[in-house]
Amino acid sequence: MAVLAPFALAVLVPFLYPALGRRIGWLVALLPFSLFVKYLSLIPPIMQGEPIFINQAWIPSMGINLTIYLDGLSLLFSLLITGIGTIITVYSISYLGAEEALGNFYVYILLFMGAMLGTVQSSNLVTLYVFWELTSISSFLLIGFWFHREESKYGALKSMLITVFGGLAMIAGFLFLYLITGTFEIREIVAQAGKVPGSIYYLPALVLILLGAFTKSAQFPFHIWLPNAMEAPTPISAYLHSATMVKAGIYLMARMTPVLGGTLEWFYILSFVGMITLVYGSFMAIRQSDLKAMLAFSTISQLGLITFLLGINTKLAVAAAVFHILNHATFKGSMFLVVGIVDHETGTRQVDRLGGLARLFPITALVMMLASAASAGLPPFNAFISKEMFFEATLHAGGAPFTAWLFPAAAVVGSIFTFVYSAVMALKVFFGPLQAGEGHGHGSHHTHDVSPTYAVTHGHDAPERAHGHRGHDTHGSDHGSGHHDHEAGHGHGGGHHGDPWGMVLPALALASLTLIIGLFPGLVEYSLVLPAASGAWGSAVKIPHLALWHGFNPPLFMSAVVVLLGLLGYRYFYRLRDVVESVQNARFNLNVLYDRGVDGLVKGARWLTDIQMTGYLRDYLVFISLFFIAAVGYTVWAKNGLKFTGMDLAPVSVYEYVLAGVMVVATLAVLWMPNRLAAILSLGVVGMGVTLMFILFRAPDLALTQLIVEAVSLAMFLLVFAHLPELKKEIVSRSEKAINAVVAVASGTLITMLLISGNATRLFDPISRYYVENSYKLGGGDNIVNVILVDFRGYDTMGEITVVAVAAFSVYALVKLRPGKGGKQR
Amino acid sequence: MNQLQMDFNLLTVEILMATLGLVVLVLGLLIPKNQSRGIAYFTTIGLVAILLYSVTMQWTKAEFLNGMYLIDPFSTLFKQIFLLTAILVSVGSYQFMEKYGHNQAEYYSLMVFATLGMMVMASAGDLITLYIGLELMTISLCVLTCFRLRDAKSSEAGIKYIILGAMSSAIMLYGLSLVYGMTRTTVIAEIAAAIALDGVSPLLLLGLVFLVAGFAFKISAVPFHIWAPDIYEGAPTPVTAFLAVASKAAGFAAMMRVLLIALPDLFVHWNVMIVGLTVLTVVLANLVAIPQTNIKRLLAFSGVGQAGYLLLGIVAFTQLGVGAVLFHTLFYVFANVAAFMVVIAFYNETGSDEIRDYTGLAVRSPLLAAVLLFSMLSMAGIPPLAGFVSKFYLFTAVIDQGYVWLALISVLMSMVSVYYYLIVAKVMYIGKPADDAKPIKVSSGLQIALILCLVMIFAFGIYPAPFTDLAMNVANTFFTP
Repeated sequence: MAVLAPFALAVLVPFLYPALGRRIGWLVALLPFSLFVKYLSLIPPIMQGEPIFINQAWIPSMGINLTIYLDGLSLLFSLLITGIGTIITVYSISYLGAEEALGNFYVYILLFMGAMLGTVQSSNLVTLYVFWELTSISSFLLIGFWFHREESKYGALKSMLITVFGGLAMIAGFLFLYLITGTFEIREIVAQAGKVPGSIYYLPALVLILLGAFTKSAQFPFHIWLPNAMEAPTPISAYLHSATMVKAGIYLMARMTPVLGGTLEWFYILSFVGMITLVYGSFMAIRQSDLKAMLAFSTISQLGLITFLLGINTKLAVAAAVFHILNHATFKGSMFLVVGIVDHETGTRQVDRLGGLARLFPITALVMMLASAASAGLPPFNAFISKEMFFEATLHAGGAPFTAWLFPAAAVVGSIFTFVYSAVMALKVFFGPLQAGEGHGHGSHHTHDVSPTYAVTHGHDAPERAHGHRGHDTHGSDHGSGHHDHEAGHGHGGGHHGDPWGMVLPALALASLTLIIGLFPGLVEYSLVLPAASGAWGSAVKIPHLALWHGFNPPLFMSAVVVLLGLLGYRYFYRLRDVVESVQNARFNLNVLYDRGVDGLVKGARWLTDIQMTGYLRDYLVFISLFFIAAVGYTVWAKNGLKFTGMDLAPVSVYEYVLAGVMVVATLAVLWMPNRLAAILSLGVVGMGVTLMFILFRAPDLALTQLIVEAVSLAMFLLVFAHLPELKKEIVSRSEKAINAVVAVASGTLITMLLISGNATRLFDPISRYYVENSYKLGGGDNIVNVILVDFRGYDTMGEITVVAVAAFSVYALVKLRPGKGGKQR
Repeated sequence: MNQLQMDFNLLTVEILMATLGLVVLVLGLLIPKNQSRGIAYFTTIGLVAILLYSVTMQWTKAEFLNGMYLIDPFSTLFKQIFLLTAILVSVGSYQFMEKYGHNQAEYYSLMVFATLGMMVMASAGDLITLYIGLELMTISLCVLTCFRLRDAKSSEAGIKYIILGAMSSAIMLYGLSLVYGMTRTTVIAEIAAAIALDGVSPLLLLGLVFLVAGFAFKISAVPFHIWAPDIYEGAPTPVTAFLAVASKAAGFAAMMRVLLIALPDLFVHWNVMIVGLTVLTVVLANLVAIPQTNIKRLLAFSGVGQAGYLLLGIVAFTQLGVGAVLFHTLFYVFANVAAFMVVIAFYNETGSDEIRDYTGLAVRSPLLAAVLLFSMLSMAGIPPLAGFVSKFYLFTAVIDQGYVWLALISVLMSMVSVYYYLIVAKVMYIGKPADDAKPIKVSSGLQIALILCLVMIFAFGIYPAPFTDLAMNVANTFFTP
């Protein structure tokens, strides 16, 4: 239950923070570190193929349990989460100023840590989804951490919308899997994996689950949230948006490989999406002038590479994928940390305003050299090995004939771009003439020059570059004269204090791993990579040894091409960047699509609101009546619901015709009367007509009642009229009038037909016959109505009398309470 | 004639409620105006006491007056839901009614009577009894809706509620009479037997259409939802909370009783209608909620949407479906009343219900912002909050019955709902408060209620087993006669 430890600590942080202050960071860092050690100790049993399994009932009635299942794949991720988590926490102690809301920060980051561990260790799809969404929420909170910035709001909302959208699609996909297999337990689903690809639900399940994975892992075309998410504090970007959270999608795909993989759909969707993301991301990274945006796109492209490998879905490809997950976390994480240092110390992240920083921060420069050499895929670093494996995998991908050349070609192109931006980050920023941005950046995050959206970047950067760098394409790292005023000292750069140790040491620790793993791949091969690959593949995986040197073979040749063309690209960096910018039309891109989509949704919703929610009661009545008549009318028509035969009707006399005619005329007259008085009088005519009808049918008591009701209501109307404003003629459009007329006529017709039909349907004897027969016998009275009132329903009558009496009392009270002439109080 | 079953002990809860209502009313006349806070406290304490008493009847299953009134776990759970809502709303009313109301005793006693009406609806074993409960509830709520004297919006809402409510009552009554005419009985248990004997006649189907339309009004399902937003906006906010939660729950209680117990043989017919209502409700409500700028209207539409999700449980027509509805209603009390209490607290200080004024609420009052955030996320169905578990149940219930497409539409619209909930979250959490914005004070009573709600929202999500077990066991007894 180690998963729950971060949550427990998160609850405690708000209580501990006041006592510990900034030192709380050390306490928080202790937790991931001890978890890291614990997971390291679990390596031996898991290497032996003995996964750890813990089961805790959660919603037993639905068969949903909190199952923790730790195999090689989960263990690799758990180690990454806790290991990098330790480094990030230590780093952030120096990175964040004391005036920031540190309590919140550590709560959020612990929440995230727990959620992420839960995601990779859950063996139940529902609990996995629960933790999955929790990572989105904590990401939302962390991106919005610097909440006063407009971009933060936009970025936080965008990333949450896209990832939650994907998450909901994913749970829908899980439901399809449940329909196929009848369980949410991943291991049980894997056991029934054979059933899945043949099912009719396979394709919807696959597409929906991949939607979840692609949105989380920022795959094209859902990558657009990641650059905006870079609004978060840099250690958070390093942790969530590069090393761990965005890999949750990758994890899910790897986890699902035994179940969903191995089909043509899987192969083509994943490899193509991955390939496009790889090439597009690395291509876009080149044109970013903000170092962090560059890292964002480079992360996108590397995630694409891993997806690509999972799509190829051979044993070698899967092993390369998990190995690259590890490698990417080491080198990209350290690159982020270095950018954080640069930003923190100089106050800018603009590539064009930075240069020669190695003189000020030699160790920071060393970290960046290590990391970017790994990123570029140079030997003897770890990513060189995984990149060679990647090349090898693309060469033997299978599939259609065209993939045999397309895949390797795309791999090489993507790698060239990757080489170029890696070189820019290391050489351009840290060597050449010294430039340290403008102003001093200690904690002054408000002045960040952040512009991750392409359009904005383009808009404000182009002129400056034109001013500063045109004509310097021949030597990319040599900076234009336009910026010489930014010499260190002037900008109060970091010159005075050198490397900020609190941040550099964690970064160095991470970066050194790139070299260690590169030189001694055996350290991780049997302990981490193969168990993880076996977990993803579903059975034991055997591959040729991980090594730097495999002899002269096609992958080595491809690497050589990458290095050569990459060097060329770096030399002509600015020209290359111009080309990239001209290709990428900033006016139309996926962000615009997203913005328009959101905008359109709002506009459409507003239209939908306006047509029905007018605020007028009469419109509401029309609206409701229309639907109601439609429903009733349809039932009548479809079920032949009305019956008009079998009535025993009395003959209709002349008087009755005349009276009915008068009532119809009076009713219509109400509609056209110019003022209230006339309308009410017409209505009175209708009432009197009813009274006369009662008389015709020899019901004097009813007639009397009706007469009184009519008289009293008329009198009340007249009394009220004195207080009402003049009746205004409202302008109503012709079409509206027509609708009103149709609704009115339809309601009348329907009710009339219902009455007739109800009268015609006699399923059983009316109750009145009982009274006719028994009123004399049992009640001893000739007047049936009297007998009913005082005998058959005596209790009812008593109740009625009581009500009338109470009403009389209250009327009396009201009359007495009437405010006096002076108008007492209300 | 049979022996009349009249064990008045079974009615203790209802009798206590009626007594409480009357006592509060009389107290209001006896106690000086400046002491009216005491009446409010008295009401809350009385409601809590009745809620505690009702626990002793949790698993009682009995009939009163030969099936005209049913005391079973289903109705008792619903009564507890109404009581919970009434308790929370009464706590939320203290400050609000002191500031904007008048004649507090009448307010609280009307609230108690409205709750009593809902209880009668939930327990009704007879169509007439049901109707009486419905009217008691509706009329009390009508008065409460226009309780803010000389507030045009409140009066307008009252008028609209009276007219549209009367219309819906008329429709429902017509339906009841048609059902009676076709089956010769108004007792729910006997209706099913009569239909099983006589078969389905067209007029009975017409009666069904009327009934479903009438219920759709009460639960504000699209297209009969149209009264809800205007009235929610105009009514005093505590009343809105009461309307949005308790009155809707009562509608569902009665609807389930009538459709699932009295008219199970018409399943094929009403199922079509309910599916139609569900789709319309879930789609339209969630779309229309997006452009709202008033928090009460936003919550109104989100509430309409929630009614759509609840309908899924009726579509399923299984024990799981009923259990899911019960669970969702129970959680919805806490989530929705919590949201409205935040609105009340905010209004008490600022006099505004506009979403844009919520900017930077996280700074001005972290508690209010957190409660609103989590209740909204919960309503959106985001784990690990309560709404996720209940939606999961509802979706599973319909998927088990083969309505995969319906579940998919609902999931899709849940995504849409995330958008408008997030807009509010964005405003509160990552917006900068105006320079003159002051921290918002929340009275301690309200604070306790808010924290209770927050705890429940998490408890239902993180450890739902006791609550789901309760709901499932109650659902289990619902179908067994």
